[in-house]
Amino acid sequence: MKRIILSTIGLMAAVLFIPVVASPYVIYLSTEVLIMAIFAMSLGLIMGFGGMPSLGHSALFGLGAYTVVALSQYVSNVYVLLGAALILTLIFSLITGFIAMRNTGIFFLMVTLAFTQVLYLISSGMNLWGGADGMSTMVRANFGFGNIASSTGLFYMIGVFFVLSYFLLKVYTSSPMGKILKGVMENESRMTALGFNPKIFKTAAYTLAGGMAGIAGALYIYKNQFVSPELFSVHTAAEAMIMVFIGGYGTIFGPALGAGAFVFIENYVSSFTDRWSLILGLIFIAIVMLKRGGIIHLLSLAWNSIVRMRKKMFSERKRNVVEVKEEEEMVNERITKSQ
Amino acid sequence: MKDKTIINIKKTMLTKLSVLFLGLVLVLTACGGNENAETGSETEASGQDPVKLGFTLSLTGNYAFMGEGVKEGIELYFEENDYKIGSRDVELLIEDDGGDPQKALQNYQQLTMNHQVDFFGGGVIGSIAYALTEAVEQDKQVPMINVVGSGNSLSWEDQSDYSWRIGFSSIQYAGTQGEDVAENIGETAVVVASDYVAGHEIATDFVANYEENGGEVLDVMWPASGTSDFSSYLSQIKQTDPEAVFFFFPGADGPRFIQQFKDFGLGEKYGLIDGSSVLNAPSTIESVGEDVVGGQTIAHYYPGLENDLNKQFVKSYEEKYSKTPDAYVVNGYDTGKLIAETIEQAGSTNSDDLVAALNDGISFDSPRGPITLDPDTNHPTQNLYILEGIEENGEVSFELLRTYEEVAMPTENPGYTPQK
Repeated sequence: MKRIILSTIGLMAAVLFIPVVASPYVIYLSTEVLIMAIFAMSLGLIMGFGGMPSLGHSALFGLGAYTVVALSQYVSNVYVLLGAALILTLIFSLITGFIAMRNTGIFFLMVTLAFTQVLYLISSGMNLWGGADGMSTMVRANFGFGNIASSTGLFYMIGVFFVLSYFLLKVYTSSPMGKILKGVMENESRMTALGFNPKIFKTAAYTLAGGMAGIAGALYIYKNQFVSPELFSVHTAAEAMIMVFIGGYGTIFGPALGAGAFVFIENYVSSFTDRWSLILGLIFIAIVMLKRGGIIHLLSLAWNSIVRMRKKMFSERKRNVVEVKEEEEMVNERITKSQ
Repeated sequence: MKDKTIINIKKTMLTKLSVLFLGLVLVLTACGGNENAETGSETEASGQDPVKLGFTLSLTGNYAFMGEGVKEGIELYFEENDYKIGSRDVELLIEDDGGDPQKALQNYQQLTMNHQVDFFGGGVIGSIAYALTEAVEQDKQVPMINVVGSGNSLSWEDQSDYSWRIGFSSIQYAGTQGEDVAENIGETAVVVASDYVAGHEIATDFVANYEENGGEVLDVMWPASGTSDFSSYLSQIKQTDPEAVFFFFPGADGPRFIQQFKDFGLGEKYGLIDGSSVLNAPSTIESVGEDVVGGQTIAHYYPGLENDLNKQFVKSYEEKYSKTPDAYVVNGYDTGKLIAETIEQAGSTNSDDLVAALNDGISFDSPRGPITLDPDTNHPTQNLYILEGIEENGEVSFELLRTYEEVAMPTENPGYTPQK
């Protein structure tokens, strides 16, 4: 618990620090990163701790976004809008979770994909909410102390949600519930034998992740002020999955790093070439093929090897000292013998 | 962190990885280097800052054929003018949005915040045009040229001083066709349109104008987009027995509908009127060939247009890309010309000056004929051409039947009853 609190405080400091040093455009991009990070972390939970690869996660992201835009025609209170998005996505993910949990692996992937496609077809085919053209809103967040309109304000607002999500996920995964979830992923029949019902734990995680993705989608509207059916596309779902893999499968913070790498690569590489997705694809393939984990794993790897190198150097020096001492002793012995 | 496989990694793996990343970095810098070298030489030519023009176009995905056309047009225009507006150099920044409005918005932010472009363009599809117009209107920083987006309300309720259209609108096309069909084809018609927002808009505009000019719409049908078998709709058309069939199926549905319409033997009986510019698209002619013969469509540009500027334009485009230009290329070409004219008239790249210049009503000669940007609707007043597919010596081409000169966009929403 102490480690969790410490890492959360570290993260908070990092979030506070970014706007001090970054240019407005980098702040804008970082805001996008934080939203995508919440989204990717929630997917990372069910993928990396629950073994549930879902292509239905964009459904929840899009649902959160659509809820805010649709309701913002009538109310502008940010608590109501975010609350509604959260409740709706929780209910949706609970129901779809129950259905999807009957399958595992590739079948789970397909069932969740079906939910996304249903929402995509509904949102593009209906005349409500702009249909295929999408719809924009003028809504601004107001938590009771003025409209948040500046990009720095928006960054901090989303930063708060990001840190909260991180903390929540950390606590969840280190709690008994999270441990059981991981146990279910690693050996479902053993956990059943131990008397746990795996479906309950999986559905709970799926619902939690769904609500978090919904909040990410809702926050996205405060940044972009626009929804379109593309939010429900397979593309969005696959992007989140790529973020999880690039960042580090099976960790909480990895997907957030993946989101950062993804957004920055997307925006900077695209200035050089139209085929930025090719570069991203190559990185993705490299990460999957090498099976060494994502960015977070590589970073810890680098860290470990530095630590090891230092240890080695340290022990070598020690050995040198020992050798010198031994030599001295030998010399001394010889001297005494000769005497 | 405590994963054993990771701790036990061999050093060779690390080197492999670093080589891989190094390779990627090299590729990236190579790509970037080229571009920088290009722009670098341009900026050095004169002492002034270059004019920065930023575009987000759909260069990948389903709408790539439209985005590519616009891009080629823009590049052709600036190449002909040595990448110069007046004495200032031009720097083109073109980003790909893949047909996704969310990505287009990101590109917009990148181009305005990171590159500080002086002029912006985009909107290859309707949803992107709406999203970008909303964004430029809120920021009021940079004027935008809507390169294709045809939604009517961009000239009415959603009009913005900062967003100007260079293509056409639904009502400009479908409204003109409504009038034309009533006068020249027949007094009864059936409407078949793809069941989504653009289809509804086009059908509404056609039906209202057709009926105003004495026509009667017998039936309106809404096949879902992606329909592959139109036989039930076609047999319904046969039973209704109209004089004209007006259809709107953009994308791959269009050629399928045209083909099945002919296969059903309806081609000889009823006039086939295309409201979605698919009849004369090169890809349609390639896939269904002579099935387009006898069908009529509307265009604001076609390559056979008789004027000197167009002859020159077709020639230089064919030289550069070895294919025939379409309406999207002209949209891109005119986008370049409009931006150049605006900057020259404004005398600066200050956004207020640019918007003021646009609001003075800019007109110029385009390969499509003379066009004027109407400041009341931010929409070009232009000639529209009714075309018919013909076959000559085994080759399919399009013949000009009638020209509607200087068709303007209605300044206010006429408030037609929506077709649903």
